[in-house]
Amino acid sequence: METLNRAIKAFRLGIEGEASEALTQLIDQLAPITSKLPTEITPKLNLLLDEILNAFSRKDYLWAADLLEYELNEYIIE
Amino acid sequence: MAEILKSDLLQLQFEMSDTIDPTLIINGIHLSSGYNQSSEAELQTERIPEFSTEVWVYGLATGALPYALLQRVNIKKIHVVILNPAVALLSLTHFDHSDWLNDSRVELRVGREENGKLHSPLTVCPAELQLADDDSARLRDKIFLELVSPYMNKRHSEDNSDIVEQIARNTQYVAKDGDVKALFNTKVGGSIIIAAAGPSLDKSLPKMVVEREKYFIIAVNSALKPLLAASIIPDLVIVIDDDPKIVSSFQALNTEQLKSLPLVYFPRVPSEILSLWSGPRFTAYSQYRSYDSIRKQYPKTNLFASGSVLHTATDLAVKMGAKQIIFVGADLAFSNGQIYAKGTGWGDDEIGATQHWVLDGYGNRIPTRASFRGYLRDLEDYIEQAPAEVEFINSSKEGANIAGTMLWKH
Repeated sequence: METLNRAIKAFRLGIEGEASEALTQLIDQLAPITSKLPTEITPKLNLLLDEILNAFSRKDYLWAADLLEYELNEYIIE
Repeated sequence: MAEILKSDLLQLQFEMSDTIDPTLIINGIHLSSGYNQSSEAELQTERIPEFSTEVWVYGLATGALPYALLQRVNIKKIHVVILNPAVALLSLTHFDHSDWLNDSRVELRVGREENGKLHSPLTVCPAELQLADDDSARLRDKIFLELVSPYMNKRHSEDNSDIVEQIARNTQYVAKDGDVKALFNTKVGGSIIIAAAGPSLDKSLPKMVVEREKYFIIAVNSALKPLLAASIIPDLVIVIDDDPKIVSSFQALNTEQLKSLPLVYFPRVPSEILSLWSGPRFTAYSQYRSYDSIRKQYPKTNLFASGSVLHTATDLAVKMGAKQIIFVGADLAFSNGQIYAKGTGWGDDEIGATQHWVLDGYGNRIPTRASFRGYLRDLEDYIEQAPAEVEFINSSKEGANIAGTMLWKH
């Protein structure tokens, strides 16, 4: 959660390097979690992660922050 | 406001998001949060100290940020700087801005009239940095630098163990090598070429060969091999980075040929470079705290550093007394789809996909890295503050346009 919040904050404040670093760490941290998820969830989560990475690569940082805060967060809480 | 109203919206592709707090998506970039704009704005106000009375907001987005700041009782003035009038017009025609725009404490400004000057305390609607127009490019890059600097500076802190260890490995050299100060005022009134390894170096090599005797040449480490390949032996080499990749520039050199060639270095460079160097070595430090310990142990002189060896080479040239400094290969962008000149030994495979751009000498957008943009703006600031009698010249229009330089006449 700490890494997720760090990524969200960095994206919303426009701190590119920190956002990139936090997002990379977050994806690394998610890997062991996603393997334990119910099989019906995994494709949805992968799609969401793809959308986050696409937003990041086109520099749509506030959308990346939204997806992290309001969509990915739901999976993590569940 | 008149400037905003006459904007051409045809340059932008836009749509409204179908999210719970709708926002504009302009050229694929969400202008603000699509879920909770006021919460996002509250977060962005954190950059502004509570006691501030006069503040700068760069980009207005959907207006949530200036509105949030106006709720603070201390605020007496908010300067809202528009980075793209067309984006502002879109926002003004799709959202109700009357809750902040009619407040007498608000002043609207246009980025193009700011002359790249940044004010603080500031906060930013970050999407607008991606949507800034050409006239606000310099200002945009300075905002970007301001935002990322605290994070980047952590790399140079006293606590960065990688750097501390690297400096420790080089202490044996620092102890016996000269102080860069010994080179100051040794070229008073002279013309100094700073050769960097951008792609435009290739086109300047023939002129440098023909006019070799007219100039003192400082080579940044990555330009050394291309210069030697063109039979140009520089007068001095400078290296400041800790990246192990740069060692390759110093391998397989003819040590006999270079034994009188001075090397200026920061103590964080890979030790192999110092052991390979056959000529005299001069240590310099930067202003960063990572050098505080060795600076105390072996006091030597600082040179300016801000991420690129180009900055340090420029400061050295000024302190050597140059009246004319000519940048060669200082492209700070991917001119003609390349990062480096031929013969550096480094490929262009690092370019990858980039969304960043700067204007070249012709006024066209050319791709670059975010870091290069930052180096460019810090170089421009250095030039602006340099002694007025020093003339700065750029050898090419194919790289990034460097404000404060004239074009080298071929």
